[in-house]
Amino acid sequence: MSATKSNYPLWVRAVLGVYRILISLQLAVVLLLLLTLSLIIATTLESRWDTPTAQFYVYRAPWFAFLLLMLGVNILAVALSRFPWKRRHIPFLSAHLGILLLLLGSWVTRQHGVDGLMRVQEAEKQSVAEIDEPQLILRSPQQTRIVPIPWRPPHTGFQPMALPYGLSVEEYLSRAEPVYSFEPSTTEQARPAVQLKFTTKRAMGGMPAMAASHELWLWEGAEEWQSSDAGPARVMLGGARPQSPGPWIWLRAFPAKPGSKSREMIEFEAVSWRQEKTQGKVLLPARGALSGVMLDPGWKAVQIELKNWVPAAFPRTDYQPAKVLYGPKAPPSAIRIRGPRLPDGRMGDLLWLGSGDRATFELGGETIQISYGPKRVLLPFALELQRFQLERYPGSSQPASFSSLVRVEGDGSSQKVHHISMNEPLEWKGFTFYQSSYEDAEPRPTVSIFSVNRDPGRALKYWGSLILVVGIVHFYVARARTRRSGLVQGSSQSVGSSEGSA
Amino acid sequence: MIRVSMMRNEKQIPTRAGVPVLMLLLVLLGLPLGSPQAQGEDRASAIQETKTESLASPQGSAPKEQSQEEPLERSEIAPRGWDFSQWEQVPIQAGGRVKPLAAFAGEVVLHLSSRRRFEGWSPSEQILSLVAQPSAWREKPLIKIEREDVKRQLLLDVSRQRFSVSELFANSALLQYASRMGELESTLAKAPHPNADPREEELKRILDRLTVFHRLVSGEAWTFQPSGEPGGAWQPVARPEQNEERSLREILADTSTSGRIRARFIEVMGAYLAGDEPRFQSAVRELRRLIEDDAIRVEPAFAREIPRLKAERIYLQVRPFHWAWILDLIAAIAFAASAWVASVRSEGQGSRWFHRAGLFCLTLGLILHATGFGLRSYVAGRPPVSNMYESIVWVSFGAVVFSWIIYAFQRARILLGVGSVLGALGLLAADSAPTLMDPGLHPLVPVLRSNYWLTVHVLTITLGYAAFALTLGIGNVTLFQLFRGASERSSDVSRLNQLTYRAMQFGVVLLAAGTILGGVWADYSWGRFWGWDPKEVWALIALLTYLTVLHGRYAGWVGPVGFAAWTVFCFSSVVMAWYGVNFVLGVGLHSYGFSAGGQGAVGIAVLIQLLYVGVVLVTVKRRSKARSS
Repeated sequence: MSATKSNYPLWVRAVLGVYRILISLQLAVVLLLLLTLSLIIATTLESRWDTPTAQFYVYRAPWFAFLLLMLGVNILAVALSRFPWKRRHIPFLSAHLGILLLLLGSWVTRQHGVDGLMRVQEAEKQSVAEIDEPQLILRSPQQTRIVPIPWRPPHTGFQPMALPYGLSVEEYLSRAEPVYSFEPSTTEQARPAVQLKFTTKRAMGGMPAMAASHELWLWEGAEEWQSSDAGPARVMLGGARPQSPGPWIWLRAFPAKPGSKSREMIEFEAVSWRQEKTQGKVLLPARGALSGVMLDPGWKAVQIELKNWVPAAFPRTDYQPAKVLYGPKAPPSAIRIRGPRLPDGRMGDLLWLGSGDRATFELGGETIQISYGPKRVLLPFALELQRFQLERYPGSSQPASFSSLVRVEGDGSSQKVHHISMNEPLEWKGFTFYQSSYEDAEPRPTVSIFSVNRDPGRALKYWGSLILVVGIVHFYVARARTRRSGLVQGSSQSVGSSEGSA
Repeated sequence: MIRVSMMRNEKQIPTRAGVPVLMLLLVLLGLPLGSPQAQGEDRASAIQETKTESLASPQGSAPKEQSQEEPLERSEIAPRGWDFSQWEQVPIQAGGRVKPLAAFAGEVVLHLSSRRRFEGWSPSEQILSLVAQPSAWREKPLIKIEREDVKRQLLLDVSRQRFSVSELFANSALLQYASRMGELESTLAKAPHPNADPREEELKRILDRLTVFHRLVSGEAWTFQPSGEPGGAWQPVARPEQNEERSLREILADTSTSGRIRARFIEVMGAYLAGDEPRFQSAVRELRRLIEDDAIRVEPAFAREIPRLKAERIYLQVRPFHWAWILDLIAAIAFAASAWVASVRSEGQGSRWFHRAGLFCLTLGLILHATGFGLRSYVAGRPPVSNMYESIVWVSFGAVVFSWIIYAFQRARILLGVGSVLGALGLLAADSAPTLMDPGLHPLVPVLRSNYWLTVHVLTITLGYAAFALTLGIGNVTLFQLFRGASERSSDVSRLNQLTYRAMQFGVVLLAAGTILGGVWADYSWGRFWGWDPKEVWALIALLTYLTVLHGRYAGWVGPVGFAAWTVFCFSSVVMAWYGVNFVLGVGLHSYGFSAGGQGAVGIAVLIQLLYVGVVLVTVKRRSKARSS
């Protein structure tokens, strides 16, 4: 079709060469094979590790986008190479145009689409959708900057990353779980904290006695820190005396008052399995680390050691690699930020930020607020969940259907109640809400989870699909007709020539 | 104390089956079992109690009466072979829907014994006997444990396959495991996850089967009493925790509907135990009438369910797919015989006769297949394509239909031969592995309900698989011809290639359309057209491999031999998309279809296919070399 002539200038020959490769069937077959191979690898990764890993290495990788782009270019070039088009080209062209439109539609979706989740509590409003693309937001009084921090699988290695304001990301944990510690603090919220170590000796069904130990922190400053479970027993620090039946231990901390000379101490009350009450108190050394300070409620099977005592403490959250690194139960990521260089030239402080955490930095008299977490999209309206309904198949625990009654609250204050259920989405101002899942944990209020979606590429994909399928069917029908009319005979290689040779 | 008072009353009642009925009452009302609520929470203690109960005295109390009844019960445990058609039609609500007792019995027996039929008992009779003669059944080796490591863990004899309920209840290792397990959901009618620890799954299944056995014996599993409200849960005939202080006379005289249902049930069992068939039949008829009337009274729409229940029992009794594979197999043999006769003596009358016989059997098989499919759709109220069993039935149906369609245009007899083999193989696989592919009818998960696109996309994709199965069949025939020495350029091979190409066209169109329709459904239901979900991706991979081969053939890189060989390679991707994603990969949003098992069998089948291709390719290559030299 394009004869190479050696007397053409080099660049013309180069362009012709590239053109020949682009329209070649060899390229198409190679691309198809490469695509097949990479998809097989991706599903294997997904099965062996998890979905984000497969997305990182294949589906969201630049080379994969390039592969799809090359496929698109190849298809386009092949279609253009048949120009001027004749009537017999129609099925061939429409099949290939369909694929092009599908690829184009996917590109538009990837560039401009919104695909997130929205969690709405019963009787509450929500207008923020979360997209699974972690990012760091830096907010100064003047401006807000957003730095995307794409998720990467564990063990991929992380190079420190510079941020605005002289900050930097020093460490990255793909799957992080919090580690709490209590450090002396001078802030107003500082309260006493204790660390206890429980050692249980027990014999199990004929097996030798095992010693199991368990450490925990208690802190007076927040309700969720005031009590904890140590095996079957409940431990509490501060607050009111528990009324529940035993076993429990209730501690009260008495830090030294400023100016007073009295020694610090901890008083405890305990109630055992048999509801026997004991009381006691421990005087704490004036200074120095604790070792071997025991609280003895008189329980035979359990030893309680006071490991740490901080009279005025505030909790600090650090992160460590999670035990579960892959799969749906793996926790979200965390990053470690280094603050701006200090005035005396020393390196800035280090600070862990988990998903959803925020912190502030002082820089040149300005307060900079930073927060880390999934990308949040503010919708131009709010969704109010009025009621969540769950139906089960009669006489079984299997859910038959679940749905939400919602009201949309926007500029036009509509009072209409919409019903969103599986396969019955709600469309509102370009966004579509699908019933995705729910959280039905008993004491908490029910949470309905919607998938929120805006897809500008949808029309392209639908048209592409239609044209593609019609094209393939037309292609085969037309071919069968040519064969029957006796124009071409024998094997399909020669039939293929009616589309023009590549 | 309660039991004692009941017994005293019992003795005054002159009834023919006096002693057995007393025993039944003990079974129904007196067993010290955990309540259904407590069942999950405290399984260990339930088992503990049962253990003591079964070890000390099978009926939990009254050892004196016990000793008299024991031999009586033991000696009579054998199938009676009565007509159980009425009993099989009694409606019962289980697993989220109302079904005929035959279906319930089938599911329970399959779950307990890992078999469709256990030692010649019909399932319906077996569960009746289970509750009527529990102590004999406790001693029978009923529960199959396959995994050797599990048997070792439980310190059981590794050489044995089946174990009795009582020896498992007495197994302290199992008890310890149960106490660690805490709450678990029943695995009855639930597929295991492919990534779950198979040893753990087996242990859970053992515990669950013990619980099911227990709930049958205690009466809890017999949810015969229609709910008081439409769409509610039906109630069991007896709750172990209801240790009512009532005499048998009072119970039998209870005129409330629930009381009458219970009394009738007791009478059914009494008549069964006494071997009194006429009384059994009349009691069963009465029981069925009572339940149906009560259900209709609560919910008039239930009247429309009754023909459906009838249809389900017919479906279960006729086993259309079972007979369809036998007919398909006969057809395949007849076609083979026809081809053989034709090759031995050309223009033989015998060949034509064999061909006609094959046509007859294949047509009959197809009618039966279609009827079964229709019946199943009617019973389920949806097209049956929600699990592996149903999709295999549908795909083998599609393969036979496609072979007919292409035969209608191309008049190549080999198509019908290949179609009948595919139909027979598919249905045989579905029919013979009930523990792997659950043949039961179960309610759908929410995302699959009342969905037009689901039906369309699954039916389309799997029809594509059917067309590809046909290409695989014809490809294998082509390879066989080549192996026997046919030339690449012979008219036979090019004709077969032509047929393969036709079938592949059907497949590509259907798979492309189906995958896209899947995108439409995903867009409609999950909110995105394409999400690189493994099931989607493997459908795409299958499509891509076929497209690659078609393009290669178009360019002339894939010759007749290669084309036949590629049908096999490409079909491996279909196997992966169809079976592999659900049973091996086990990730993604199509989780409702996940299950486990069969990896060995499928892997070996694929391997044998690939080996066959390899042998043929090597043979053909050698021959062409020899010819050229």
